[in-house]
Amino acid sequence: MVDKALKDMTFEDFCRSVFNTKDTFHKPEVLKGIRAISTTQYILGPASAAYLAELGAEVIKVELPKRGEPMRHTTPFNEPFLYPLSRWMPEKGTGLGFFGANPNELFLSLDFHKPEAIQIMKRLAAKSDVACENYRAGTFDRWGIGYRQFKDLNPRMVYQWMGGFGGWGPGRNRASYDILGQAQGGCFSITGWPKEYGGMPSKQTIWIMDYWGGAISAFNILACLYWRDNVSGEGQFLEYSQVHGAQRHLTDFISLYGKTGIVAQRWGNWEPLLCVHGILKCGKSSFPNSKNPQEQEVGFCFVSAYKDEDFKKLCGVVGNAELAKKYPTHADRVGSDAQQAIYPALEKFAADKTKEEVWKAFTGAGLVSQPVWNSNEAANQEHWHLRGSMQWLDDPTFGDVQTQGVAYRLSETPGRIKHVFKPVGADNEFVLSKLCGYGGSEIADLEKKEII
Amino acid sequence: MSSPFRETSLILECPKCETLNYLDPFTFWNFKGKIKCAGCDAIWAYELVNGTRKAAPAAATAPHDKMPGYAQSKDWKTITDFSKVNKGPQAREDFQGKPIPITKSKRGNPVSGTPLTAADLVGSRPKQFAK
Amino acid sequence: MAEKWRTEKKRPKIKVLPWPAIPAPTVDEVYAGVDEKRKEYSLWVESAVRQQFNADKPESLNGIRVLDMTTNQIIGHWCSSHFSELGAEVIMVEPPGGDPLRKLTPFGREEYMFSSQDGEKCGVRFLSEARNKLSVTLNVETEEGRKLLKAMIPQVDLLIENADPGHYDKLGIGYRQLSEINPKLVYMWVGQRGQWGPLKDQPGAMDPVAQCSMGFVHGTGAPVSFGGTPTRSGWWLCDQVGGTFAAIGAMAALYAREKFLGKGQFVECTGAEAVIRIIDYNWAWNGMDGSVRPRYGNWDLAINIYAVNPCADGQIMVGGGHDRLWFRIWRAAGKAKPYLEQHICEDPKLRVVTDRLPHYQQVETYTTLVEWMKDCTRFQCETALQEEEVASGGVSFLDEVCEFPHYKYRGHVLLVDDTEYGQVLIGGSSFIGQKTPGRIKWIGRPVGKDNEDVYRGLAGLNRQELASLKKGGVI
Repeated sequence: MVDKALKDMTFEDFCRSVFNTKDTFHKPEVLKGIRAISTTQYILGPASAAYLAELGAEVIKVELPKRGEPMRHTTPFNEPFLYPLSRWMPEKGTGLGFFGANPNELFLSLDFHKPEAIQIMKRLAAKSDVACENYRAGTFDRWGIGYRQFKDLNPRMVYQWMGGFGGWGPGRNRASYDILGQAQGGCFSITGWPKEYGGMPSKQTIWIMDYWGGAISAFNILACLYWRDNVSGEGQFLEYSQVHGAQRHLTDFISLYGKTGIVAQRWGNWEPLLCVHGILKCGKSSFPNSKNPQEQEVGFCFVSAYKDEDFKKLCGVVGNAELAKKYPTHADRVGSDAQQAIYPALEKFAADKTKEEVWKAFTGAGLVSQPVWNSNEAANQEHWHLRGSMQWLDDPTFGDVQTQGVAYRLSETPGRIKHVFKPVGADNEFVLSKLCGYGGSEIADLEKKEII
Repeated sequence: MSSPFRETSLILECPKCETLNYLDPFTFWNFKGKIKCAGCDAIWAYELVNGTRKAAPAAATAPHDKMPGYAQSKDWKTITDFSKVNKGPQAREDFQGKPIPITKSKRGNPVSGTPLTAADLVGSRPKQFAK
Repeated sequence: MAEKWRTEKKRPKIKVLPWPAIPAPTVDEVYAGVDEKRKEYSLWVESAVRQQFNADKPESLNGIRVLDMTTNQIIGHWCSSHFSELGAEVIMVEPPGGDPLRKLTPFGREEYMFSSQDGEKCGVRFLSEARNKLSVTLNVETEEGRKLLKAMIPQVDLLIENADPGHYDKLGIGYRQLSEINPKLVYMWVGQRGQWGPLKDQPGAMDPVAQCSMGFVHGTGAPVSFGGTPTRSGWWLCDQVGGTFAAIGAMAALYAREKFLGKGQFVECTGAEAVIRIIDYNWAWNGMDGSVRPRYGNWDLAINIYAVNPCADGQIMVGGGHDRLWFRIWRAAGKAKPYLEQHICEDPKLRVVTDRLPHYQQVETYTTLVEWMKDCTRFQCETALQEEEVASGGVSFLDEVCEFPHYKYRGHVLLVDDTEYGQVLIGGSSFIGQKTPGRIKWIGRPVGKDNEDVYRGLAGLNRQELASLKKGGVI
């Protein structure tokens, strides 16, 4: 239901109005009243809870005292750090590897090896709706804080366990990381240039099995909360195996193998299903005089012209009408021989141009095209900042940081980023007094005994 | 006792000056050509097939085809001069490889990117951001 | 360039093995020799979540009806797969003749396509996201088509579309119009860059547009100094990640509707923004001092040792970010080549975890590691490292993936016996749960197979009306 003013606007204005990021904090939060405990490390587990935190859940992140989580000590090239790590170690920074996986959360420090810590976890569990953990399978069960123990304390709890290979099966004891999941799952085998072009199996630029794994777990948690609150009133145990994520992504390649025995291979920057639908190398750099060596590199530009009329237009732009005559239909173009002939011919056009010039030429002819932007060019786009997927945040602890925002837009109950993360144990007093019934002197005592 | 690095493939010990030239597996996994030693500039003809050497390096004449990805002496003295080893990727105009103190963000506002002492904090927040 | 046998004309005949070529291990084989206490936990988890019990269990999203009106991109179908796996009724609304994606097949090779009972061919890309869904046809460019849609809307919970920005609004079936008919409708638009804003989607934009426009392609592949170029992902990554976030957004909207809102809302999700959300630390790093994240091939900028490197028969991943694992990895290498372990462990520059991150230290590390691994196969490396409890694994190709015992045992890869398309091997549902697991019931439906059932049931059309709509090109 939309009021008159909104009904009369143009569509673009309507979208800008209902998705306006300035109104975000005036609107309610989806998961108000939901509490989640995140006893997680690295990226897979924390990301899952983080997506709930964006939607307004109260997420309590639990880390080891003083040192915190291992991801705090990773940062690209050892160069950028945000300070402080904690009030105990202000001179040591938190690396940016930790960034993006823990927004909006409350930070509790707890040493699980001490019995009082187990007590605290149980008190938290009794009041929480969701628990996320990615320790080795069976560890929390042994310590008395796994699903089997929690479900008696709190039958409404949705307990999500995440890990590399799962808690059962021949590979259950294997430790796993994101790129191990990518490697064992087959993702490397289809990304990159083929050997003939000097390429090799390549990793995706992001810790995708971790972050995406967290996302799909968050979806499952939301669906289970929906089921709990609208149908059954019951919580349950959920498992997620990171390496399984790779099979889910590559499901069509798996079907192909099952039917034909074909093992899919790398196809570089082109596309097996469509032609022309690939990334062309342009000969010139867009910023040849930049001080940053990244910017001095030559540009690349994507173009998509797989429909016959579009391909003809493309051939016109690059000045090679012969090509259109030789490959008039898509069936002519899409074969592997044809693709290997067509793309080098197209790159001849781009060999003396910057990616912006190529982009302009293609879009001028009405073709779909996009230059390959590096992180700086992408971050400078007003588009993402306007929409809220990237934002500058005046973080209470760190100051002015540029951060990713929520991935999706909701017009009535948008997600939001309140702070990027906090030091280890920043919210100890708050969480312990609010949820566990500890008084000031008891908390000081816990700190002295290094339990928190 | 002869150094074990005399026989290694990807770590090329220069027959002349014993500098260890690290031939990174990205660039050199399959390689045939001339490498310039980062320690003494001597040129060596060398061939690697699937990371394994075909023969010991043979003296050769300039110009070289490639420089090693990194080099150091046997007692770990590093050589990272760009005229001696390949430049690695950099995120900014200089490459430091150690924490870079930052006080202002890209757009000029204060950000907590430098080490602090306990005296700079109010609770767990830097003084400049606490009320 | 390519070897002769790879040309279109002379392709080798491949003997297709039945799957699984080697049967999955049995429970006893998997837990042979494991001590009782450890076994007990694993067996409990198995009993809770094993897929063979799925059919006995309820479904989380039973009762939700989704109309998937997206075409030509996989983002919408991927998103609605999340709902269909968990029990929602998902109806794919395709243009008459079917979604153009159905016709896509690698290199145009028709023999790769699956055939339905009636001989209708469908490409694997589309079919893999048609699970548990019904198929109807509808031409919303016609007035009658839109009327039919509006007649069904009161009974739909979630509508997903990816038409050109503003197109449905212009046709009178956008959020502004449909929310008048059904205020509880959650209306979702999916795409690559958005339906508003300076970069809003060009008509025809597909996944690589998103990958290129937010730094993913720039950051993937080997750096220039290693002879690499920006590389796109081998699959439609932005679409698939975007689809998951779209599903989260839609699910959040449905949850809010039931909990307190009482009405639906407008949801939007794009492939580019989903990957922007998860691209690690690019934006924070750039915001601090304008740094541009470089490509680093198969190594990692932030963690050492954490990379894929070549070995005797392929590539192998070795991971171990912190100290304890660092020394264990060298211990494994040192068993074969003690001088390697000694030289690197005594290096004063590599004492602390963060000291190992700069580029030259990584070159030193990985060259030394590969000096050992070049003589070992993936399996030998894995075994040696797993003895030291270090995470490692070879880069697997898809045939190895499909035959991997762990996946067969757990049902990550499973064979679905579909009534229409026969035996289809697929990646199973990621929703493993104790009480309401996700499941695959069928693979897909031919174009418009469910026209009659759906339109009768939801719009009360009778046989003549259906026939005349068909003749008029409306369905």
